[in-house]
Amino acid sequence: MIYRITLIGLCLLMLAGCWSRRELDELLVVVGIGVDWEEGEYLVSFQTVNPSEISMQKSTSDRPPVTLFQGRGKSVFEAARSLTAEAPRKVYMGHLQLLILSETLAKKGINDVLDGMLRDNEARMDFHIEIARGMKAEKLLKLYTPLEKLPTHSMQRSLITSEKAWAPTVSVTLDEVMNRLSGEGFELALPGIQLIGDRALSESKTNIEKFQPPSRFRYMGIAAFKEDKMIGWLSEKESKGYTDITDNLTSTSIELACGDRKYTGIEVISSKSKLETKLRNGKPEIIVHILTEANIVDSPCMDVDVTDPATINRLQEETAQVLKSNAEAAVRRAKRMKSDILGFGNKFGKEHPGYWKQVEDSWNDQYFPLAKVEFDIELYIRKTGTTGKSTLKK
Amino acid sequence: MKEYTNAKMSVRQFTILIILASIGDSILILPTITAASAKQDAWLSMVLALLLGMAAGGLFAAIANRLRGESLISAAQQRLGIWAGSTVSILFIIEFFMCGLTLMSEMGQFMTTQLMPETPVNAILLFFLSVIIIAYRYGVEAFARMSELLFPVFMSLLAVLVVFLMPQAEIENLQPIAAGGLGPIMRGAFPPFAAGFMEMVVLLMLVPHVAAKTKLTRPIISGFAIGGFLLLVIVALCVLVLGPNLMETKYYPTFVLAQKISIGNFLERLEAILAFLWVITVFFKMLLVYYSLTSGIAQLLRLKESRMLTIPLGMLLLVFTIAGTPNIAVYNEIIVRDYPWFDLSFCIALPALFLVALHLTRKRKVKGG
Repeated sequence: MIYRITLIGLCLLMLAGCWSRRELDELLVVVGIGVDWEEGEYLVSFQTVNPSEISMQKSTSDRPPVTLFQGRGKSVFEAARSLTAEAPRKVYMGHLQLLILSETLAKKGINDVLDGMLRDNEARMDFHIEIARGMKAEKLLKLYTPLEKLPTHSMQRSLITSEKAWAPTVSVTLDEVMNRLSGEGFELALPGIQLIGDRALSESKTNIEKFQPPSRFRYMGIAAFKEDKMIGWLSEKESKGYTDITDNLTSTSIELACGDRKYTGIEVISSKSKLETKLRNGKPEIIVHILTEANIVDSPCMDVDVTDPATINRLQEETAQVLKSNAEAAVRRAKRMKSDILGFGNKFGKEHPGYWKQVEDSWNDQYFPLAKVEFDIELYIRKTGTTGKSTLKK
Repeated sequence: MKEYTNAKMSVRQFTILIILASIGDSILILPTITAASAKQDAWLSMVLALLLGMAAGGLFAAIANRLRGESLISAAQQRLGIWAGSTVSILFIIEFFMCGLTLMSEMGQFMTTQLMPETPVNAILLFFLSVIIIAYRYGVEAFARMSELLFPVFMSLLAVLVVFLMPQAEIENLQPIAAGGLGPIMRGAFPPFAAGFMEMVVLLMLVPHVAAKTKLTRPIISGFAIGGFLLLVIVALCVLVLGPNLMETKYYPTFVLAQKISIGNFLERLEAILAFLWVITVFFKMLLVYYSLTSGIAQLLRLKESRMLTIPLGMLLLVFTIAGTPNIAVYNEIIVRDYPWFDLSFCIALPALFLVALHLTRKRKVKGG
């Protein structure tokens, strides 16, 4: 009898479910976080999903798809907890997609913010990190975006797509940030994002009622760091060089002048880069090998005959020159900033560990700016699109 | 003493138990401990630990073959006499108890840090122990079969982990190889050698149950080799996919590995399923340790049955776990700094002395004839 009662009791115990179970209606699903630094305090904005607004069934209410909750505090955690005073539910970080840090915060140092993120057990390590260029991070999270209902989702998708198709953007997730910040000889670089157009309209629903939304986001440049502090923005050219050297470039477009305001368009379809390190007389030397394949997508000039192999050869050389000048610009800038965002030091650490041991402490300031960098660019143009020589009358 | 000797397991089951238990809790905490000193050479540390482990396996096999179908503790008492035998037995029992504490602590900490932060650790430990006690009460035969049943599950989950992470592996993470010299690699090899192989001294308590006509050298050595190899695979995967920095920072790199699986944006977030991997191995290791502890005490005190010991011992373990490791920092300091030395003295030095003693007593008997 006692045995049976115990058994029934145990079964009932199992039915009670998890200790700290939280159903969907008790969760505040955070998809984006913006962190600003204001008057010695963190201002943390959580973009949370309104589940009923993004459901498949047609929603009838006028509520926005996401709601922004903000909290202030000496730490991100304090800020997160202080917002429960406003929010009806407790935040759930498992679906975080985007962490936007303001430029001011990035200049102050980002370690404090990241440490908390890394310790949290709910947040995974696959969300993207970006810098709000010249503006507050919270502004970016208050944007109505077309196509995607969730602004962060839209930003994340755009980042991933443009990383693949457009040279000057990179996407960086927490685990990479963490690797760069704790590893040696590889400084951090994060993509910058900005609101363009009429910023005042971003928050109102009319923004997406127009054919062209007055206020939009756009990825602009790459923020270079030294340790955990941001020290400057790479220009578009430098950003292109950066992605090419660090093997983040997949596809992009390159324009070669061929006449008066006319350009031959080259589409890079794949690009691989490899660093080779050498020590010559104890001096560091880096050779950047880049292997690129490209197609011709535009040829408006009559004198460029894309059916002639000699022309292709010439175009190959010219395109390689453009890639080289981009890469050189990136190296020059990195050297001037004394921050090895290109990972040369890291490569030395792997291939010449003995040498690296001696220089690692002063690599950024002393050895990196003086290191000799050479480029070996191989570029092949494979196709010219579906037409041969253009027969359009010029 | 019938209870202890009746139950039989096949050699195959014995091998599987050794494989699962040698992976044990190491699958969770080992990568981070090893990487802390060996960095990207963690896998080399594992190779070294595996070689040392084979030596330990040889030692345990030599003892197992000389036990003549007795368990470690009953053999100690019969051959070494009541005083010396009991002293040795008590020392082994202390080792089993301590080992049980670290495992319990490990399990509780993992669950509360990574999966269920709001659940009190006592509740998790209580359930974990209840399952262990129930398994013990069903007896050796039942849990040996259980291991045979779960082994394919374990292997297929491990295969999922390895295959799905292959695309993310970067050979470059292995460089530079052995740049810091042999020192860090050897330091990194010590904890895995202790946790993965030395603690397997518990297998000597299972000897009387193995239905083997021949010597036990083969199952023990092959169990160590397979278990060690699987651990090597996991550590190597951590280095290849996560890189030494992340591996060193995160307490549970294997869990991060599982989180990193992402196939075509839809096969994701598998970590809770893959957590079953270490639940299986930690369970079997704890079960063997608990079995050794309980039956060891019963044999030491010549009790007719050991069931009455199960619940009190469980309560002791529960209380000592919470009291002994009040926070994760204390636990890590013990497990990294002190525990390998404890293992070395109790799981290698003590059995080695025991082996010598067995040898001497046999000679004396032969002489005294």
